[in-house]
Amino acid sequence: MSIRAVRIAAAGSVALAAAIASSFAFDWPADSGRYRFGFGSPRDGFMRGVEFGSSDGTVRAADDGELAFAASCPSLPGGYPLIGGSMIVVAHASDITTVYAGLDPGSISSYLRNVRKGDILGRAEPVAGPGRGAAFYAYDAKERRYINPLILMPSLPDDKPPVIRSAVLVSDGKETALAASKAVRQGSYLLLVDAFDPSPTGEPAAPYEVRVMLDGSERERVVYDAAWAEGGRPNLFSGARLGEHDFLASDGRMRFGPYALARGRAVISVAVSDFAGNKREQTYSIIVQ
Amino acid sequence: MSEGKGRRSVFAVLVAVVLIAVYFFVFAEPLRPELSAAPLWTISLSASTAATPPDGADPTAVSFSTASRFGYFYTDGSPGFVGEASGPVPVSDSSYVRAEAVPGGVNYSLRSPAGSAIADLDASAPFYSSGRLFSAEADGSGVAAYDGGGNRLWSYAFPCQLSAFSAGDDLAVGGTVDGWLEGVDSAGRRAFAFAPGGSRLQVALGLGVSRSGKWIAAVTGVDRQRLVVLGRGGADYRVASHRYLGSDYREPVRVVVLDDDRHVLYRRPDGVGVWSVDGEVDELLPVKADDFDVSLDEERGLALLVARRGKKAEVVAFRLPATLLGRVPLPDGSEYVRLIGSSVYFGAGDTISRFDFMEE
Repeated sequence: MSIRAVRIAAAGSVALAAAIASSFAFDWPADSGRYRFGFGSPRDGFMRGVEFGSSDGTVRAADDGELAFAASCPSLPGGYPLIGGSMIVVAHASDITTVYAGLDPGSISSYLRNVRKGDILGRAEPVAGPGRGAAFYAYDAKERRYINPLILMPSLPDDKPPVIRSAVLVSDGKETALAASKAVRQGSYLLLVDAFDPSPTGEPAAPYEVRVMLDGSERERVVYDAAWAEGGRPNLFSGARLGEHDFLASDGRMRFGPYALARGRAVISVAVSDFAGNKREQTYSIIVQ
Repeated sequence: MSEGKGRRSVFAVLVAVVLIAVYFFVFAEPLRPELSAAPLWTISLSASTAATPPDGADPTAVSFSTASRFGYFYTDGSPGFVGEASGPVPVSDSSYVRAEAVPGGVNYSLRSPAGSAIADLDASAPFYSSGRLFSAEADGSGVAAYDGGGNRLWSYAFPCQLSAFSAGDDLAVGGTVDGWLEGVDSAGRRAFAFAPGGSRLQVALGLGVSRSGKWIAAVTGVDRQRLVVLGRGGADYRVASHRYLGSDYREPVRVVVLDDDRHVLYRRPDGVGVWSVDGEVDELLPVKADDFDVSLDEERGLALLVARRGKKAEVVAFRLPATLLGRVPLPDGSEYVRLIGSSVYFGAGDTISRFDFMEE
């Protein structure tokens, strides 16, 4: 079993893992994979797919399948807005459903029934800055969870390691930056990490794995592999199984802990990896008083 | 012998005449008064921009939204607050949402029908459904609800994107792209989750919730498509009736549960289907529509339906379940049509007009 298949199995789709262990079933639907924001990027919450800037304009089917739903209107009957004004849903034989959102509403190929890999589903306008681009989601209909599309797609060349912008300890609402402080009072602390992985277009996208170690022992490890909801609550990461609101702060930082820091020296390490395996690690040594 | 036969014939004829006379005098139904559409008024929206009603809910205020304008008018034809818009504005009869572009995004604020600020809104994509204020969240897979003061009451995450949505007074239901229906009660708790199944591809194409929250109707699935009605029984919802459909829609389908808590209207290729929640009524209203809306004047037993096909729209008057009474085509490009009881409000460009269906 390949590393990719192991990652899919870890995300909960054992049947799919077996189906595509030997080959990549899906192709990038736009921009040859040059996505702006990846799975887990903070985009009004935890992004469950990937978002493109669509410099070449066309959005194509990621694999053979059948059109299950196509909508091109500002909102659904009942008023619910369609993000980006359109949505296409393609069901695939592997129990994966792919969702394409935010295509140019007048361009979507709603006449399609049987969809072949590479068929043009519509066009997307180029975007920049905070604007939302066309988005692609891979949803495991059997397990009822989103899968990080990077797991299903052909690999992209990537030699840029993630970036750790900051790590702060938080107690009673007071933040202490680890890079600037050498000492904190003993107590219970949350750890807020601001880290990202540069996307192929250079935007601050989410990494694939984050580990937190305290005094050499791993205290937390999250892998950006899956997202799902149960009873109306959004959950993340098949291994760590964290609530989205527990993990993702409103400003996009990752929340870990709480950790009880006792008197003495404490060594906190944060290791962030991307899907290609590039890694960045920061270690902070502080005195707990 | 022939004389006796003749008397019997005369007697039979007399009996028949008497029976017919009795029928006419005892069982006859009076002819229904003729239904006509009476135009009442037309107002210019551009001329009403200066008119500002006092703050506070006005039971006769009616909201509207077109591509270039939004605001309020009154049922007597007097204009209310009118604002300019560069696209659809979320608006209800009791408030509207103003969007303001700021660096890095959009700020939303809740406003009264007079245009005064009620509160800033912590929302991603606000919208109204059945007069309640919601916001679409999380890539189109979540919804948040707000009270009249703009306070967030709850948020609910569905497992995947919604392809159908409807709300009643105390229940909101999302239909997902993987074919599930999930209901959320007024406290933000899951009221039920149900997968209709029975089709080769599972997808929710359309759903309607009765205002009372007692009934939910949904068109789901591909090959074969199904109409499923769920009814509340105690704390749960169960299938009350269903039928397979001949349609092959792969796009949003309008489904409406009327306020009589009995009839369901749904889009069909050959018209608008009329179904009853118990499955006893299965009729067709021969009005082809890509989308429609419907209102019920229970006092007069009259239902109005606005049917839209492309840029054309018409208003159809009918009696339930499917007795067509009349049709009134609306001007091409009518952007706004609102049905309230037996009244029709419609607008295109910078005018709004009203006509009423009257029995004479």
